[in-house]
Amino acid sequence: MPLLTTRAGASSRAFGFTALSEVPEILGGMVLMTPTSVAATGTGSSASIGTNGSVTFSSCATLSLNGVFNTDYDNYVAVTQFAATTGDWSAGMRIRSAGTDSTTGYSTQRILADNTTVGAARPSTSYWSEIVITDDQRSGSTFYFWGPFLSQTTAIRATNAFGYKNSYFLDIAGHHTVSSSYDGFTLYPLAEAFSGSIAVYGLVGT
Amino acid sequence: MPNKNGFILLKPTSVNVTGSSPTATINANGSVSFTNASNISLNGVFSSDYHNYRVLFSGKWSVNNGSGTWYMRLRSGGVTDATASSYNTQYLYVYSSGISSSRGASSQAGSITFESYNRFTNILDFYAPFIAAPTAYRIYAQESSPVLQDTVGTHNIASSYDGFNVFGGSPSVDMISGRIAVYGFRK
Repeated sequence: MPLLTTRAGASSRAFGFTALSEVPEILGGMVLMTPTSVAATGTGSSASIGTNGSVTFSSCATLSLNGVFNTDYDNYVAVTQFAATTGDWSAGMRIRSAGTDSTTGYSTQRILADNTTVGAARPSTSYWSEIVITDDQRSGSTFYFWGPFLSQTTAIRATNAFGYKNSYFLDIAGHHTVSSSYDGFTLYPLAEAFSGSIAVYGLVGT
Repeated sequence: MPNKNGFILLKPTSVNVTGSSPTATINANGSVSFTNASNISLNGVFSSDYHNYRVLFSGKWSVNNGSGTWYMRLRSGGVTDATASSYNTQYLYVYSSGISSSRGASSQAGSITFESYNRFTNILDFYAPFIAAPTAYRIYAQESSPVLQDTVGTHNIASSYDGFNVFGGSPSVDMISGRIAVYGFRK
């Protein structure tokens, strides 16, 4: 990924060029990625890619982003805000390649604080477990992906914010040990459906 | 389509400050520098252009010595929302081998921490504050003794907010100087 791109018509007067000239724009440290495609399942579900690359989705039982990791960046951040259709639920995540989810090799370390009770667990499932818990109002999560496109173990860190009814602290760290290259991921709710938006950013220079 | 810068430093439309002969200036790049402040409000910094935001709130005590806790409230049209029990918050505090946690519903969200010994930065993440739905938030705090101190919660009022207020728990003594920078995650 080059660090210089062009922006049509920007600041043309400052450079003394005509209105149609292009000037370089230096990309910042986080670059909004555009998936090559998205896929959604669930009754009445929809998902679309916006002008800049973020994804808006509605009533999704699963949501997949394809072609969002590539050789341009090693590490990524995804930021999402969403609400469940009804009730509360938790979700897992799977990484995927060429439109197919990987279903093996996941391990998750979780810490959960529920009022004055703090617990930890390390479940082994076919997905990163309880990467998200939400309610039917508003939740937010930030996912950090370390090296998903590299043919090695992919590491993830997820931080969550939610608690319209009862707030919880939930963070996870996870590994996926099937050493292959992955270009996307699927949010994998264990029940219910969700609506919101998600954007993936490549970290320049990492 | 070309890739776009994803993390944009935003400029508030205005800032309010109180304290002990306080100052607050919106810098050319949009960050806010302040001195001797006990209460700071940033207005017009959340908009429909972005869904989610990260705030870096740096400071150090400038009046008196010690350490103390600051809090956050959402704000709209220049009015701070201090509705009782509207900020549902779960705290986690890890110090050495000790872990404690608690949950509460309050008129404010914390903890944001500062002290007189070092300048530290707290991170405040806001999820969809400008959408007329409850706002989720996450606060990562710092102290001199290394601790893990996080705050997670949701403000349970379904309104749109264009800014936020941060303030000291003991306004008469808790003055800090520092800087606030608000970044939008491009959508």
